[in-house]
Amino acid sequence: MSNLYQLYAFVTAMGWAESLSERWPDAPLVGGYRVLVFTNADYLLLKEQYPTAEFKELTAEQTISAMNANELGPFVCSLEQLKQIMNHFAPPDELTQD
Amino acid sequence: MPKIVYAPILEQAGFLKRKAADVVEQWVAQLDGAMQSWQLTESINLIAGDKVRFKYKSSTTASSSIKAFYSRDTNYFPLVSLRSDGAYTVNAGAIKIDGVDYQEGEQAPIDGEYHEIEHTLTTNASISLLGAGWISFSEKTTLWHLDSALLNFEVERASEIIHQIPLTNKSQGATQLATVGDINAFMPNYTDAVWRKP
Repeated sequence: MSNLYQLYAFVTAMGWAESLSERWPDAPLVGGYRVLVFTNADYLLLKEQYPTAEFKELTAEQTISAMNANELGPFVCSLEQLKQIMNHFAPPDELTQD
Repeated sequence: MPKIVYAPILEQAGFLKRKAADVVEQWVAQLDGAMQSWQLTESINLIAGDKVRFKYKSSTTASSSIKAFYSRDTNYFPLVSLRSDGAYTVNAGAIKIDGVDYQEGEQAPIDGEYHEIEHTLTTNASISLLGAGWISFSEKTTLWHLDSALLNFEVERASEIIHQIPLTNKSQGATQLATVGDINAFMPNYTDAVWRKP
């Protein structure tokens, strides 16, 4: 259990709407893609459950480029890579204060 | 033979054993700082004078981005957050850290330990999000995610605890049940990998 950690995958918004939204209903929209979260223990199972999907493990920069080119994915990444990618596509801060 | 319900003298002598109290093993949920938070199953309508308390695990480095502890049901409006210079931002009231009044601009602790924040409200506020802020309350999109464990959330009104959600019961999974009140907390994008020993 101590070796359990989270992985993330960017999938196209269309792919999410067609077949993944029930399993990941709260997947946020980032750069036109939906982000799925799962554990390393789930990863092999996902590959078995979605045998036609080509799970791509790229660098954060390569993933951003692939997303900008509207490539298919899914793009699998670590938490640190996820944060880099989300920061790239992040909305501007508009902190409200009293 | 009459049944002895409870007899301390016999218990002390070792003739009776009290049933062990149910002990719930304590865990904390580490939010990922990207897409996880705690969303209340209903909004809590706070009123001026209410005290909101919770604990969080501090980082070992000063915060370099905004991280919201809890937020009003308004876009871009955290009530208490860490800001990018390592201090706290406080709206709609004042806070105490571990029982000590916080002064504007003071640095938040960076000792990796658990600290309690008590926020005393000076205005009414509706809240439903812990560990993040709303980009859009109506569309339920979030930002400023806390990358830490947040636990023991409670609301005190007129010296009475009216809401309490420990957020420490691993067996309850994504939906953590209140121990006081009937408003629970749900973690979107939950996985079993969030749990840590405190």
